[in-house]
Amino acid sequence: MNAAKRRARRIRGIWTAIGAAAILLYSLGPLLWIFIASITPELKADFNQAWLSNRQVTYLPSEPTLANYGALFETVPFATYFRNSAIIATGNMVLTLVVASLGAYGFVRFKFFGRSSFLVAMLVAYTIPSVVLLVPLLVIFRAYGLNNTHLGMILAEATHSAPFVLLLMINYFSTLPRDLDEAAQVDGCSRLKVLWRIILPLSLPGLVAGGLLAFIMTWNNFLFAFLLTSTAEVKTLPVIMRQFALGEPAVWGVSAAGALVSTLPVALIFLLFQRMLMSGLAAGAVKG
Amino acid sequence: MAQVNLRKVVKRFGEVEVVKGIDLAIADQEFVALVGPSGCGKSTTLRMIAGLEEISDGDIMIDGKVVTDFAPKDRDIAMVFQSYALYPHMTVRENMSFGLKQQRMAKSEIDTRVDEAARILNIEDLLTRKPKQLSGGQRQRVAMGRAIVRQPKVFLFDEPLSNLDAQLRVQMRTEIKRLRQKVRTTTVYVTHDQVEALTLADRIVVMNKGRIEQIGTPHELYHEPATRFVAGFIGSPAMNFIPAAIESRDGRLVLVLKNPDLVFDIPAERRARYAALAGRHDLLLGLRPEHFSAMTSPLPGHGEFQARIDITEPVGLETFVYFRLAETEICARLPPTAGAQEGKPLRLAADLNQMHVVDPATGLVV
Repeated sequence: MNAAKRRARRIRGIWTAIGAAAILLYSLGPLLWIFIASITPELKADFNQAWLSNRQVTYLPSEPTLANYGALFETVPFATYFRNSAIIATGNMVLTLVVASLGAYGFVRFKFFGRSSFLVAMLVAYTIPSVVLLVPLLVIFRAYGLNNTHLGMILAEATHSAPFVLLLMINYFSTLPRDLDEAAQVDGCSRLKVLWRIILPLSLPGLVAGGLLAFIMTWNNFLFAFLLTSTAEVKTLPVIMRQFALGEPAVWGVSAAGALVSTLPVALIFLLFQRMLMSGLAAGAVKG
Repeated sequence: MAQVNLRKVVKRFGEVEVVKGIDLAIADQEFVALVGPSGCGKSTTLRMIAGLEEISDGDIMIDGKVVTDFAPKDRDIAMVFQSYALYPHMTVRENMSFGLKQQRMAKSEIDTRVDEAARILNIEDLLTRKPKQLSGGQRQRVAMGRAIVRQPKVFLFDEPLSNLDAQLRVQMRTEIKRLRQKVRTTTVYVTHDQVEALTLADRIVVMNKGRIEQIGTPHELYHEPATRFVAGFIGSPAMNFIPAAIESRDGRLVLVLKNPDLVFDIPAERRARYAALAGRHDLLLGLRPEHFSAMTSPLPGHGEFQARIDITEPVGLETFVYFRLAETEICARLPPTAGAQEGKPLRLAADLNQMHVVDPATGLVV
């Protein structure tokens, strides 16, 4: 009986492992494929063939090379795009956190006229597809000279990351007892100081989660970057990735190298903060 | 140290008036307890003094200054919360010095004050710990330490012992009393536990439904309650209220009880007080459980009767005895030697020198 049970458990374990391996392969497969593509030497273009056929499928390159990575920085201003992405994503993260923390604190701790209407408005703002905002944003940005500026891009990105992170922070702040605010007020703090000295330090996991989500949203966002920027000084990584993919001939090796390099920061951030990220996102689910 | 004055203070939440225009004058260095049942407005009153709750009407003065529109930080008060509200991300030392840092006090002075408070409260070994590493009693001490170091004009306590278990509560009550001997700051203490109020306070304010029922020393409230509510609220077990009439018979003033029909002579020194009530049949006789005794020989000023004992509750030093008198369940506090047995009759005497008479029409004790 015991032996049979043990066997059943072992078989179940094997099936679980197979399932997990399949999911892992499915998730990492494309990444692996990109890596292989990035170390495969670029074929010389043969203009007698249709451009798509210029590239033969190679599973493992016979002569792996890092030339594509070098080309990335030599043939296109990849470093500039990378810098732009970093500036805009970081800028948006900071702006989003400031707006979301202040807003969430207001919603959670103050009663004011129209509070619930504002909250619903925030929710609606978050559900509006970015593409709907494009035309109004274009008009506003042109009026204020924000086209092709980092600031403009940061403001545009904040339109969808701020409402989302605000809701996340509302959820987080709601779990903190009000007594803490009041104790700090009695101890001599203004409301803003309470937020700064008590609420924010206690909300670190929530802030990390919200900040990273805002960063990643912007880092990966193509739409705004594509339509609100036209000069290399402000273009971001997703835009250049598109150029690689649609180039004639398409430079697959360089494109793959670019994709990997642009994935790197996000992957690193996830690895570094994964524990905080998970606890931050789970906050509010169970009151502790 | 300072006086605290409340002048016609009103608090409304929307349409509901939870504090209905109370007046209260707390003297310098006085320890005043606000007691009352849940929802009587005692905590709201305390929070209004702290500035954590806006005042709908009236004024609050601390040290002669109207602070009604002041933020909590500008009132020079310190508060101990029921939940302790220690900052979880700070050590005990940081928790205690937080308020002083906000005042930009010199670090050496902060350290001196924190060390001194830690010594008084016996928490010197805990200064490097975080709140989650402390027991309930230790957290309670830290919360008090955080208040002491500030050396404020007024201490405010909001049910500080409610979250402790019974044994620790008694212990901390004594600690607060001991602390009080060292630190004579004006204190307002909110509790629903009348024993805390009776043991700690110089004066007690009994609140009910947003109003003050009576203000007095513990002795006054216990022995001379002004209203039926106070008479019933202060004292445990509570005072017995027995339907009764007062009549004039043959030149005597007597108390008449029904079922069993009993007639007691009202003691001579009480006659003047109750003379005007002669002929009233809707009165309530108030007698505390300890004012019953097992009858041995006739005593002056006592009403004697026989009762069938329903329940006995021995609690060691004494026994609570329950029986029915005038269709009301009565609790008497007798010595274990009184011979009370469930289901058996017992001769009892009620000490009418200690009686109270309540006029149900006004709710006032006559």
